[in-house]
Amino acid sequence: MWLYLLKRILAFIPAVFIVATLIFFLTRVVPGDPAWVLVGHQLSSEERLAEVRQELGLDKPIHTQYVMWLSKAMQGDFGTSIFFQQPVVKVIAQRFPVTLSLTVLSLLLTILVGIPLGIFSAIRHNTRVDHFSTFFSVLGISLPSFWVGFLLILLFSVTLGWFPTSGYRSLSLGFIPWIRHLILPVVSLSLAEMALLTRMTRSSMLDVLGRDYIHTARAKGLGEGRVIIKHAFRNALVTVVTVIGLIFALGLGGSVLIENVFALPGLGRLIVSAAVRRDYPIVQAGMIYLTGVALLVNLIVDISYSWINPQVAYEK
Amino acid sequence: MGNRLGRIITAIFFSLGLFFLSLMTYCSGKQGQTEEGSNLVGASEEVILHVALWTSFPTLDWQSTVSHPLPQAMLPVFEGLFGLSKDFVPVPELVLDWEVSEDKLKWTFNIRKGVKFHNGKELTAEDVISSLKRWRRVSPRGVMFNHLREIFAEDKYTIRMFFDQPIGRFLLLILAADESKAVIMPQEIADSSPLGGALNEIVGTGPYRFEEYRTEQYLELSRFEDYVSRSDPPDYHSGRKEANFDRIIFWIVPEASTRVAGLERDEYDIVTRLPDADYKRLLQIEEIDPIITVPALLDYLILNHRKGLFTDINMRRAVQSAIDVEEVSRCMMASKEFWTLNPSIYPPESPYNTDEASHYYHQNDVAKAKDFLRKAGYDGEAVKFLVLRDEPEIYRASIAIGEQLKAVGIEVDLLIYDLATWVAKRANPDEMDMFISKGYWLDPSLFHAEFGGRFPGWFISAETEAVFDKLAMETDFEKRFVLGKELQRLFYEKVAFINVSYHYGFKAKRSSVKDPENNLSRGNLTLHNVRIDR
Repeated sequence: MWLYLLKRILAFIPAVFIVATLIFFLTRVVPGDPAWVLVGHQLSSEERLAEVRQELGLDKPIHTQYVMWLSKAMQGDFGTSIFFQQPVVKVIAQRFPVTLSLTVLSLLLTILVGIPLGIFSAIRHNTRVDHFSTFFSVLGISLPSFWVGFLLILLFSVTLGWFPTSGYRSLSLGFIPWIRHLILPVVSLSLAEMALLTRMTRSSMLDVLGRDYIHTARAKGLGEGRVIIKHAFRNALVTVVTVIGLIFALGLGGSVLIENVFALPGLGRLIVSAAVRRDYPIVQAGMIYLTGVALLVNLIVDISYSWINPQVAYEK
Repeated sequence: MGNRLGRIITAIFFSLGLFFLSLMTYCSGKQGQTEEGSNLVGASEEVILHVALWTSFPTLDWQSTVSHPLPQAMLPVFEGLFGLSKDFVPVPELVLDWEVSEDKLKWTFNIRKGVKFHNGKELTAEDVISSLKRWRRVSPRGVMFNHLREIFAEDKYTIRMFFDQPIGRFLLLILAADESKAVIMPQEIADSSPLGGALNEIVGTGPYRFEEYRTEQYLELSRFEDYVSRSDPPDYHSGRKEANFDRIIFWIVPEASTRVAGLERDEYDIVTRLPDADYKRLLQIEEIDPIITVPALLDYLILNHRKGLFTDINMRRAVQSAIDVEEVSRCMMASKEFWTLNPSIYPPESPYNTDEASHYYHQNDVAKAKDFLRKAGYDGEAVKFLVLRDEPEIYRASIAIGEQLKAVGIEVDLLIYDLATWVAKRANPDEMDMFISKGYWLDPSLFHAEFGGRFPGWFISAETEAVFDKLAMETDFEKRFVLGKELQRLFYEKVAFINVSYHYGFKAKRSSVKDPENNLSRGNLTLHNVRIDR
């Protein structure tokens, strides 16, 4: 197991390197001049723009820029954001708690609603509960999250006045301000995730519930709860965990639509706006971060398979 | 057992519902802006103005950028030698009085005594000189100071400027304009911040001082207790300024619908840049005052004068003849209140507004356009029309114009890009035939920067250059007005650009926000003298 872990972690290095290199050159291929974006004026003289490019190190040949950037990045220095004029690591670190809060809370809500609903609709197959669950899932997947966000703002903020319309408060300012500002974005974001998880749990459970070992367990006189949780759900869990891993990895990448609607200063908004402004250092570091998250979550999900199903072994 | 499992699952849902309900009950008792634990809400007796802006600031160095919404947040912090009046003409701000020599080569400015910076230091001529030197170097508009030969302090409160060429009243407008404004800061800050976009400290002389900026979240200002105000009557940027708020917080809220919702819920007192489609609905809400802002923005079609089809005057005239301005305006804005037909290149609010050569405007004459195309020998080559995706009004105007040009027989390729790509493409004469931009020019001299051969489109002519030279030297308004008319006529005859619409901006405030000077309906947010009557 430890050897497997080491191999997987070592495999991160070439993956991150390839992504970093690709992103570095792709951002330079796209037309657009960060110097112009920074100065922000159509009348800026070529001399002034050249001066800004020099200040940003963009006047050097692209391969020189790449070597300089890579050597610094390997030491943990991802440069300075062109737009924010702050170290990239600091800018990303400022946004990470927002995205992490949003992701963890929405995942929690997704798991708390999605899994029970999926299990229940599987064991109550073709009943009203199942039909409700199917309706809920189709609705959740069909409704765009940003639109749900607007509806929630209209109902819970403007009409009822229960929650603020937008903004973010750090957890350090207290639990209540923090959760108040996150409830609506979390619900908007998790609706589609709940729907997905409900459907996956339901279909996975339906598949398992028809297996011979479930009939055997029941024939042995085991209680229905034990059959469902220990024998059926445990075996359906591989699919469920895969979906959860996917949702978690996507969530940590940030949700630009939800962050825009609720004015949350998260990573999704940061990376997308950086791409629009040609803030190369942020885009590069952001993509490396996203790659790292995807690889790490995949690894955790893979490892969890062996815990869920002891037949899955990584030693051989 | 199945029932037991059902009960467990029901219990989970029930607990979730209970948690949600408890939270709602708790939160409903915490409406408004008085949440505990937040550092953004102070003692209950504090008066805080909450303003929602549409995007974050690329830098806080106002001298170095014209990017918006920076002027909205920096106007309360910084002041210049001159500011703009209600009629958008330059009026003294930090200046007490000034004089100009007969030959208009030497200007002398006396600044007000006893003005304090936010760091406690008194304003002197040396601060002004360092600030203006920095502005000249880092500002995109600094090129307008090219003919400045020397600037020096005659005494602690007197500044002299010597120019290589005569310069008229336009100098005052350069110093007053609130785009990349020539703001005055302490000498040591100006001298130690040589690079544009990287100001070491945000210290001005305005009625509010800078406190904190959290990127893409908020920017906070607080009242400057030692502010020394002018005593003359309030006049937009200048005159008597009262800081009626303990703090002003500018929130960054990218979605217009969310800004509107926040205004309705009384989270924000003022919200900026709203879609005009919301106007009529907001007009119905008693607690909200929609505000249409002047001056009107000119939407203009730029043609490539350097290369390609539109180097031929007949091609340019074909486009000029084809445009139906009214149709374009209706496509751009949902409400009639937000656009106007006006043939002038100067906005209706400018004293230079004129109908000179207006027969070239809003022709909508298909036959005439086709005739010009025949004269030009147009062979159906597709026109590269660069369209900016990020500005909805410009995007819609481009689509409408594209259709109007197709109707007269011009093939059009609508090339839709994001801002950075659009800017890069339009700077290349091989990749651009036309694009739409917007702006306002209150004074004829201000056109020179865009229409002196440097700006994409690269229009320049000997006749217009001669008019610009005369304008630069002339100080008498009547004579400048005649020159302004001459410039408009030449622009129309040469089809330097095509006026395709005038549209107005839109912001809104809570009715409790009182704006006795009507400052909020002008240009950038001007928050002094604004107050809240809760």
